[in-house]
Amino acid sequence: MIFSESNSQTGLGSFSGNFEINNQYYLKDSIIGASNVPEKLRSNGFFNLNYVNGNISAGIRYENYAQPLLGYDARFAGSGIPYRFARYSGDLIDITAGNFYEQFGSGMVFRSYEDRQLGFDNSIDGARIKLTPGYGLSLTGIIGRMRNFWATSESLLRGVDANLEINSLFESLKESDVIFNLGGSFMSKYQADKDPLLKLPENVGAGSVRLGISGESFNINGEYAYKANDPSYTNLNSYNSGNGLLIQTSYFTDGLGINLNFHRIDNMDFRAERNAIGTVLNINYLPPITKQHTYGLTAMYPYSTQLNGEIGVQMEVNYTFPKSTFMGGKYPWQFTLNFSNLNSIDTVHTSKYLYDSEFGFGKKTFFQDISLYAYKKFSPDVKSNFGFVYQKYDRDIAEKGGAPTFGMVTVMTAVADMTFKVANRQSLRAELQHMFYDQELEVHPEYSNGNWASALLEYTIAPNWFFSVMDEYNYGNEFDEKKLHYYTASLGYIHSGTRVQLSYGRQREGILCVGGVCRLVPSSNGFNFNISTSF
Amino acid sequence: MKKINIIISLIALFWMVSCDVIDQPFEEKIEGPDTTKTDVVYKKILLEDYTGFNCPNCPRAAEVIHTILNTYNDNVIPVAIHAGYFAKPKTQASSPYKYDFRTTVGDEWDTYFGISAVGNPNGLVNRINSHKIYSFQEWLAQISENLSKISDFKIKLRATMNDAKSKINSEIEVTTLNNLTANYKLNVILIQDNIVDYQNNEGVDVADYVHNHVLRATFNGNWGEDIITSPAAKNTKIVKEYNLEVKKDDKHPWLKENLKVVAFIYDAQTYEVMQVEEIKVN
Repeated sequence: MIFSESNSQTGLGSFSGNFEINNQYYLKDSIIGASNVPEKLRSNGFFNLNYVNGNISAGIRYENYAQPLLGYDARFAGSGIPYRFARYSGDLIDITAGNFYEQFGSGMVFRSYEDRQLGFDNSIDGARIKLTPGYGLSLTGIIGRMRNFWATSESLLRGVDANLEINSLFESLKESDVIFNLGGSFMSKYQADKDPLLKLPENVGAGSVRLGISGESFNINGEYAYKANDPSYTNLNSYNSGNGLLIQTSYFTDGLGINLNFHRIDNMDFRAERNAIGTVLNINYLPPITKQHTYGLTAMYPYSTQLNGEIGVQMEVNYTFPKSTFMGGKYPWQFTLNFSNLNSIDTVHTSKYLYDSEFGFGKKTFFQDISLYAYKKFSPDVKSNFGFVYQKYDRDIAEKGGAPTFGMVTVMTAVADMTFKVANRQSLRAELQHMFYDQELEVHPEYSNGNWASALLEYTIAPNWFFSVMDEYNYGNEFDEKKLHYYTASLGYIHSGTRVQLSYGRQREGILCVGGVCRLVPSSNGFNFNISTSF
Repeated sequence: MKKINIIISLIALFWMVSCDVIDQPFEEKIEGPDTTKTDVVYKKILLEDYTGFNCPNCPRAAEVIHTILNTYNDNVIPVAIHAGYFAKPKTQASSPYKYDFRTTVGDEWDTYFGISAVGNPNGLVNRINSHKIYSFQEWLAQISENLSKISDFKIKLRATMNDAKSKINSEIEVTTLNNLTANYKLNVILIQDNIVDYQNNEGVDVADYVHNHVLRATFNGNWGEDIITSPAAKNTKIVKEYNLEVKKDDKHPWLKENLKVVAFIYDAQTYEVMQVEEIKVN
């Protein structure tokens, strides 16, 4: 299963690639409500092979879902080559035929990408041309259909993007430390109108303009996107146009970094098919302005961007104490403070198919996150990270499409993470977490969660081995039979590009989000065996 | 700079041509099917709505069925199949979702066609295109496209309940209207209207929701019975008779006035429904 290194650097070009297979052997566990898996063993496998020879490159990806792992869309079942391309990259022109990934600006009108953890892939099958004619201008044009599991979208997508480095246009700006970038994109989809009742727009266009200014100690990026009428399943056939505004600013200096972000989204769910639901066939991507937490319990309630409408702000401050101060010293304290707040936008229906919306913050809070992490190295052998996270999470909006089930969930989580170097190349990491849970509604008490505690021990022998044991305990559940331990034990081996991991345990039901895009991971019990290698 | 102007103009042009903006009214008048010829038999449509009483979006699909029936009348025969996660009765005492709408036949269809695995509501339109799953927003379009096709079969139906109310008898007469070479099956099922029970409607527990076209049972197995297994000539008549025992159900009894028998013929290979008829139980 493990590929040996096979780099060949000759005039015939070179091959590179990677391989990954995740196998899960499922055991019955009715206590945690694990789904019954008749096949018992399931796996997701990927193999990428790329070839480069001068200006020419080509590649394929083979995917095999011998029944996709639980939590991945069942429509992935099967195997084949959903991704293949050939590309010529010259100085003036760069052409791709076949599949490609691309992003215009921040992605608000078009982003095509792959995220295997999410089971998300919206590669475009078609053609792409990139031109760099000089004058600081770069142009990209695309045409094609979007991947839809083992087929492509019913719609045809067309798009262009232009980016202009303003500095290269004016002599006076050529030496400037401040760099100005201006960009604009247009994206259009064509899908036939077969609906006998509704007059549907067959060509739906979306466009955006953006401006970026960056200096030695600051960055300002703004993008405004507009989408023409696009009645769809997810916007309940609204004929409103959509729009989105994103402003990202950052300031950094010695020991201090500040990020301030704002976005407002109104009816910006843009899909390659009108009837697509879930995380499939998304043409655009709306960058989230929430912090992505990495510790288990802090990530239990991640926020997914509400594509139909939300408004929010985020502030993140990173601060490292100067060495001369009390909190400084040889290994100074480093603090990260995050504040995010996302609200609804207020809307009023003016007819069955149209609504008015206000620009400001709406009445309903969707999500709030106030978190503080403190990192400190105490000695060459001991380092630590402490965290405190306070979150308000409208679980009905995030998970139930707004159906009143849980109401607002409030959680407070504390994390202590310590790493000790126990011998040369050997370290022990211990992690303790506790989460207080409170929910507003008791419509269905059976869904109530209660407090959690977790502990993790991880032993690493660099650079090859790691072992870990973890237990997440829902000790505060209202129902005794649900006061469960979710334990996992893992063993891993890493050698050059190859990683092998075996684990056994219980997986609690949860939501996995990457960049504001989420999927539900159902509870399961069993063995997990992963191999990945690159060459 | 001139070059840039040209490029920007081209981009603007691209934008103008690839965007349709629709003015009100957004709705069009739907034309009924063209079934004016009297000397032929038109194909009717079996619309399978896979649903569940705890599925918050499913009432939207039921509304679409309502629109469809208003437009196409008895040319479309809907069947509501309660199956999968959202149809599962809740065991918790606090939950109002207690009644079991599921049936063995519905569960088997759901598993075979993979509907609840994709999500509810979703459905099949005459099981066309290798039983492709269509979301309820696609139903109207698929139906209007597939109506007024000429059928190879004519079905005549009769259904009666005995006086003791213990048995339903159904007689089906199938006539071929063409020379046929494929293999066909006949499936006969029972559906019920006016079942009042809870339904989750976009998160609200509606206690007096009226469930219509609910699949209750099959007369002749989950996949019916073979009726044509070798080439059949035009005007071949096949008569079948089935009996179904009335299931005792205290909460929602099988009331004669709410029951209908639906008979459909499908291609044994592709599962595509070739003809369907329904009749009220007498």
